[in-house]
Amino acid sequence: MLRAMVRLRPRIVHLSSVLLIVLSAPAICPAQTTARTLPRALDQLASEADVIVHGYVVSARVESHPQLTNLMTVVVKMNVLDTYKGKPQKSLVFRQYLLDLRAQLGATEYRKGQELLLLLGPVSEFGLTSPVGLEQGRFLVSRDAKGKAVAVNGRGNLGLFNSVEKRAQANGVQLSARTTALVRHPAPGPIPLADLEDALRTFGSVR
Amino acid sequence: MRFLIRLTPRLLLICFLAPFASAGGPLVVGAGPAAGTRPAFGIDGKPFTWNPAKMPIQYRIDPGPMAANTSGTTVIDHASGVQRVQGMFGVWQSTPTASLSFSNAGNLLPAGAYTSGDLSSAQQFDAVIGSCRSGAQNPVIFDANGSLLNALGLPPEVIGFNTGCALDATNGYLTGSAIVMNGQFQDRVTTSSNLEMTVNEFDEAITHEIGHFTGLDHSQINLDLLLELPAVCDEDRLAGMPLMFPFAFCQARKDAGLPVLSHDEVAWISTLYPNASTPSNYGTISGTIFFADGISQAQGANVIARLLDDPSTSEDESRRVAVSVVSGYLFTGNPGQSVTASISADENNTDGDASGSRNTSLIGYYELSVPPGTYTIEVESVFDAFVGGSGVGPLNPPARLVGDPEFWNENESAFDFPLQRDPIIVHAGDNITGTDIILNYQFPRFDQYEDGGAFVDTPILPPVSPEESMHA
Repeated sequence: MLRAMVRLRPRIVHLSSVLLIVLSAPAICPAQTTARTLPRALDQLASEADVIVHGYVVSARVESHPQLTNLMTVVVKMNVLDTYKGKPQKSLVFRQYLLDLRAQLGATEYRKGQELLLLLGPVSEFGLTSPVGLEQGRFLVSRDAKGKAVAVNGRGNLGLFNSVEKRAQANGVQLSARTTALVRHPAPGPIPLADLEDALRTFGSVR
Repeated sequence: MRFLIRLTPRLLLICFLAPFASAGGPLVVGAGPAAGTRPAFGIDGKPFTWNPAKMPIQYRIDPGPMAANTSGTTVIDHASGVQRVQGMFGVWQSTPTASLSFSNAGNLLPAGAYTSGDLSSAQQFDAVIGSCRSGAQNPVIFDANGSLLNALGLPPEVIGFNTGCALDATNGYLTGSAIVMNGQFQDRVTTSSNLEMTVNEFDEAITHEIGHFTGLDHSQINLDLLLELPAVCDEDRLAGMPLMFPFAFCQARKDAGLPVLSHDEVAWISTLYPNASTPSNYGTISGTIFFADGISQAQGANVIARLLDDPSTSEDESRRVAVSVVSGYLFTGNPGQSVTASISADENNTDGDASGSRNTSLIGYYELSVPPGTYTIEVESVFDAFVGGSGVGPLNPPARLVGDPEFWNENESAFDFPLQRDPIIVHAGDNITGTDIILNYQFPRFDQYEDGGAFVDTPILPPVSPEESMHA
């Protein structure tokens, strides 16, 4: 009750603080918002991917496709820390078609320094690829309050483990204890990177 | 409430580098005249829309079938596809309080590698997008068997997409846009790589894309439904959930007997494209969201106006009738900074985003058009999972408010009871301003160590005895 009696009186608008908020806003990595996708579970995404890697974005350059010159693309170069599917490699370069007008103008989802776990689909005849399920196959890796690496995809990991155990049983896939715990108690939001890695290996996408 | 700013310095740097941001409500917002090296971009603080003086917006349709199976047999022919496309555009056009209209101008115009007939190759797509970029046509493309998406390196989960082609940066208008529909979802074949949807689910997904085509961004209302992920969504909350919600997870709205557009879309499309009847059907509620110091504006909070529930009905109107916007939706998500420009060209973010006003009075501003009625106003976080392709509003990743949603009340402070809510009665034509909210249990401002210039009254403490006072 005592706290409720404390009142703040707006006095003067301090422009510098306002600008600081603006400049500091955790805001600015834009989105490819203009595609609608069907949700898929992690085992399905892993199965669909040709390449699954974990690494850092070294550069992301927006440019026209060399042949399809009206189509804007982003060329992403990554330093690879770990490969879970596909040929192990230290670096990876891929080109993705940009749907979103804003992304075409330069604001892609890829930024230098980002730590990502990517499940990339097959490369097309025009050298284009995307994360499988688009936002679903793109996990941003960060550190939680305890410094533990966690990963979340563009759907907040919602539905990521839907019916996974059932399909695994049907296909005779043995889930590890760690993955079983993960799929039985799914919760939206970031999951430990180590758990995600374990699950990706369990789903047959071993390095 | 309290913001948890979870940015690592690295992420902060990453985010500073982005030159363009999204907006909540409208997709793109004008930044106004050129400033320094930043070019002019639309009208300051005004959302980009199609030019109302040039209605109807003409679109042209791929002459091929809408869906075909892998053996090449047509499953949904062109005529049926055209009918469905017209119906989808018609959903938006039928909003009685909006001046938006569309017309089917016929088949795609020839352009470069595309001469006529079914558009089926990436080269033809490229040529047609080129003509869209020049403003010659707004194509609607049937990718009957998903092979075009495949050639573009897009995964089979993509139901369809909108790609903006062109805008008039002088006058703030959208001038070219395209829709692509993945017919594989309608080919009546279901395998792990060939997914299927019901007609209503598919049409609503494409109608969502047409929402982007008109200039709308994503919207967040009844988020609790998403977190529950029920097998079947209840009608009250589904009714209020926007079609422009970042992704679909419920049954089709039509299958639940609901109109395809929620109140949120109807209100927003009427706001962007008002007609003569709009003022007699809507009133506005506006205000500013503040950090706990009561003076520093907070961008990125999701603001929802909900109609008060009518206890005499079996429906929950507060879940059904709601309109939302993200605070600071007219302000840029990235105003730019020159500090990193000296590092390298890649690090140059001097101009920030092209989109969004630089008028600092708009940082925490919101404005909602609502049908007449009695409303509550609440703020909540944009769901922190709405990043990347699911983004809502100008901040991506979103800013996080801690705690339960907070309602507006007449005695707003940083320490009021979050559930204390006062009703706001809105009549048609009303402009109710100053509905400001001071976020509870929040940092005084983004940088808590910066002096915001606020004067804070000290709490009223218990009386101190003379002895204690002397020892103090």
